[in-house]
Amino acid sequence: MNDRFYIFMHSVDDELLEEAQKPMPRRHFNSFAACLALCLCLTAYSYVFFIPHAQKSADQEFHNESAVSHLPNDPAQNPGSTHTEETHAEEANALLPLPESAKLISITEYDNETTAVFTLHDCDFSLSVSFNDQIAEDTSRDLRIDSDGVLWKVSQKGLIVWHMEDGARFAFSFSEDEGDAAYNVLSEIAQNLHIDLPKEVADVFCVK
Amino acid sequence: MEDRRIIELFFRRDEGAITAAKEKYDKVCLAALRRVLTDSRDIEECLYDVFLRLWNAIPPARPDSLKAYCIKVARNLALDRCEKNGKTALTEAFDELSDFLPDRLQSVENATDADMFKEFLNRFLRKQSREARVFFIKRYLYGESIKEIALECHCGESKVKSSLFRTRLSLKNAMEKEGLSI
Repeated sequence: MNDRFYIFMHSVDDELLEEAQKPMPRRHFNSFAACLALCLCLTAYSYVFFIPHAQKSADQEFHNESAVSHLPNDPAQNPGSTHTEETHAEEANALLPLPESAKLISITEYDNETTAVFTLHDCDFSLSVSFNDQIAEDTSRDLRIDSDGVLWKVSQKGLIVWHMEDGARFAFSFSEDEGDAAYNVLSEIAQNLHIDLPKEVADVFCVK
Repeated sequence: MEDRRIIELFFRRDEGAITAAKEKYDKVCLAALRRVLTDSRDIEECLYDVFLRLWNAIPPARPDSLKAYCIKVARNLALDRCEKNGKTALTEAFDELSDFLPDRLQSVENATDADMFKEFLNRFLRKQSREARVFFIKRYLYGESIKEIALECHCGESKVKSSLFRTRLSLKNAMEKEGLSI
């Protein structure tokens, strides 16, 4: 213990110190029920609209070249797509073998001059695009882990978004208690994409 | 007795306020003191001082939460008596974080660095979500255990741990960006 300890201990404003001791609001049953309902709706929606198409894409892909090259984000190839709302979970499902623990996979396409907001499960994400830097942010908090050619974003609520140098982007979400399962899913995806998982990702998921 | 009524008693300079506050928040203050101090006599004296400090501070202060105010006062008083080489819950928690803090803070003579750090840290904490901020402050400034934080905040221990991990990393990155690290 030294002066550093005392300086740190006296660095935080009283207002913040007091706030930390005020009771945190409990998560109400209503919000839990709403989340559950939303999850069910998303599952039903993805089953009805994405899976048949995804299967078709998978068959086509089987005869094509590599997995990554099938995930383009070139606006020229998608002249109509200017916003992030256009997700392509079907492509992801076709290409990436997802275990049951994966709640949703989406690949998002957007052009280079767009900002957008979308909601995934109960988290809001804002996407901002400037020059060649595309960032999906959990609007409440996030952590960025940079790796060669891959941008990782790990949010507290469990969403990971990354993009590859070739422009393919992925968003992957999981529930809070699925740390290990989520990490396994990620490893599998990374293997498919021939990329190495940064070491820090394992730490974030508390994987031993 | 409700906090509101106790505070009213303080405002009326009724000594019953001290008794009521003591009755209600004696235990939480004691727990806060024990995280910082080890000597039982120091703890006892500090506990007495907490309510005296309350008497002197209210009015003019009118805290939203008397409990939060009491714990904060207890912590601040305990820090003034904190043993230089004592091993407490707070110092143990601090060890977890100390690798992330700039070495330049080592010297008290470097007052500018300390001021800059203070301004930076408060700005950084305000940018975090309330949950992450509360976890961080409870752990590193009050010395609460992960289990205690999880219980109080109605969440799992793993959530607290991963949030603290992320906040530490963000803090490190933010310090690097501002040229405050090492």
